[in-house]
Amino acid sequence: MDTLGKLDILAEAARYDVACTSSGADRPARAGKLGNASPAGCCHSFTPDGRCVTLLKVLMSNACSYDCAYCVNRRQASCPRATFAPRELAELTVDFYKRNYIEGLFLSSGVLGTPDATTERMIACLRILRDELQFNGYVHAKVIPGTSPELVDGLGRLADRLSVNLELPSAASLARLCPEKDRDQVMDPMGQIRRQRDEEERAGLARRPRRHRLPDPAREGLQLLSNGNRLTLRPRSQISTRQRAFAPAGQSTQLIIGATPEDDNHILQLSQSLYRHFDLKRVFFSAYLPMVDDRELPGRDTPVPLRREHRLYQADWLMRYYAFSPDELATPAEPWLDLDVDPKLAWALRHIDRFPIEVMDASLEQLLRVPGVGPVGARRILAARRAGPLTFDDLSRLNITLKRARHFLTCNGTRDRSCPLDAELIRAKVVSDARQSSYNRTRRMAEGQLSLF
Amino acid sequence: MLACDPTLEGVLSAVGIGYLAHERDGQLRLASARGVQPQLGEEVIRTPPASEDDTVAFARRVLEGFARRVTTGCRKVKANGCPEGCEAACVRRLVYVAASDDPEMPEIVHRYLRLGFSVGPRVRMLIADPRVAAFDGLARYVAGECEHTRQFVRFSHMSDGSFAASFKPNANTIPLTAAHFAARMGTERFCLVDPRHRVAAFHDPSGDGCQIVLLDAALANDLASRKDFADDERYVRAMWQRFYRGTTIPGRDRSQRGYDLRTHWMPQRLWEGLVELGPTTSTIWDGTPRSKSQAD
Repeated sequence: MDTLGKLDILAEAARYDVACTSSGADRPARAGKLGNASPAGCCHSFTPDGRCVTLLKVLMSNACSYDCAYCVNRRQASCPRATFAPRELAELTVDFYKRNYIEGLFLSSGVLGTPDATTERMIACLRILRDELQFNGYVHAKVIPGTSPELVDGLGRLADRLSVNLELPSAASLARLCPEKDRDQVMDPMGQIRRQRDEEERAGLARRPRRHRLPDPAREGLQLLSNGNRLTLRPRSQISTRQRAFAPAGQSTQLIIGATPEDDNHILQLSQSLYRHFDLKRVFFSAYLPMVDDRELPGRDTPVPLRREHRLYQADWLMRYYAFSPDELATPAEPWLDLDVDPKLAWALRHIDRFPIEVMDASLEQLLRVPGVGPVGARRILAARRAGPLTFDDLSRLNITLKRARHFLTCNGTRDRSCPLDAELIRAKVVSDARQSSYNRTRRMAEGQLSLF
Repeated sequence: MLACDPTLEGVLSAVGIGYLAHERDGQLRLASARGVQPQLGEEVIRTPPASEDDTVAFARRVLEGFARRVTTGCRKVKANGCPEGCEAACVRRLVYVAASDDPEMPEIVHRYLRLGFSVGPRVRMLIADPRVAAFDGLARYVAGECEHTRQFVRFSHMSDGSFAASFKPNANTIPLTAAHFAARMGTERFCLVDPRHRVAAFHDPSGDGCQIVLLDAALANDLASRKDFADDERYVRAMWQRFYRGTTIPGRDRSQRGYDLRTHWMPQRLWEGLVELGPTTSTIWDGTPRSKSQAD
């Protein structure tokens, strides 16, 4: 089989891994080497459903010795199998990179015999890429649960970002659907990556102590363009990615949504815990697409839970950029996110007594709680109000989404004239607007009333 | 009305001319010489071409004066440049805005510079002022167009071993993004041409960075329509198309969402040069196996 034939099989086999970012590493161009890596990354194309294509995301092989029930590449699946030779994949990456198709390589694989044997093959590919082909661009490598710590270390020294996919949101679901994996096999590499990055940070700080200055949000509001990573409210690394040799862009994971019965509160609590314990950069959510028949899984006619995935991403954003806690978004008593209304608006409607907020004296934290005001908009308000009183027209010029925000703000003590005063009228208006959106109408039709759990 | 070349030098020199003529705010309007539409009673004066040395020198004086004015009173600027980046930020925005194709660009820059000369460093804080908002909006648009350039330029491997690409952005982004491609493709010789703005970036790994060259229409079209591809080009394109199609997940497209997310991120006006959205593999690839294939 030639490269084209293998690519056909191995790109399709990798498409259910949703992580596809090339951000987080800052590696300048070097003489004699090809490429660089920028903190913001770059999306080079978009799939028909709008997902970013930034890396050559393929499997090294889809011949897998594991039998995870949800996976299209499971051992028992009858599908065409293929395996890239390490050099073949490395050369393909360079060919695509030089044409500006991609920022680098996203390397994952089915389990070729054992996790260690598979990882050794992945490392061989990356060594050719880095050492022989002098590739200086971005690499994201997948750590296969059960891989030896020495090989995880070797992988992390060749890749910018590592990821270990949790896949299922509880140990019970993992045991039920993935008989060859267990919780420790997944968590151990995550813990190792965290420890090694922490050690690197301590060593970096010992060599070059750095005085940590908190950024001034108002100054950030004056920037023409914002690097999204700088607006997160989570703790930041004290050393730059250039000082790191091991997984400089950190680690991420993925959870499958809708294949198992865990609720949104459980998933958000789990995400928060992963961010805290393993310093993850991202938790990705993948709506389960029923592709295989298995009595443990939803039937093949079950609608893809796209809206649930979308709301979980919004909630995840609210935790990282807006300092919301999981219980504020989906409580143990009401553990599911509202599908029609975005989680921030739903929170604001549940706490409508805390509004309106006065733009001239609200703190960053208060502004971030206003529907329609994002991390950039909040910082722009802080910057603009230093020059004088703001009106609703001014907010519009600052690109605040007034359609939603106007109900929850006052400017110099004055409410917007088109906004109702009664809290119930506001609630009815914003909920009606949200429910009538094209997205919600289409999804309601697609999802119907079907519900698995 | 002053009709000027819609370039950084052309607009800055026109602003300087207005200042020297003691025209008050509201009595002078700038417009692009490419599409002058005077209002009733308005007199049109054509400024000197931006390519003249005197114009460039005069524009530089205006720019330096503006940079000085927006940092007036800053103690740090006297001690050690401008560590807060105010001066660089203002100048960078000017460069971005001047690359815009918007016919209102000269007047938007004019109003912003007048405000800056009038209020000094406070201009950085007045982000809700209509003049600053219009200026920042244009700068953001051009920055977005630069990002589109970095994203959607597609190079082809040519028969002489170099790489070539043609791209038609809605702003003059090639001079602003050439350094990005030079860093990314440091080991390669390449030519990136924009036939709409008649400008090209040439890079040679043995040289220092990129050379930006203004082209005439014929040369720009010739460079943009090169077809002397290397032997492996068709095969690599076919692979990229297969890869792109392989990444598509069923059940998540426009019909399932109610809106087209792909078009939102990837404007259709830029699809022309995208290999992945071009003719299908079977018509592009002639079936010749790739010479350096390492198939198992």
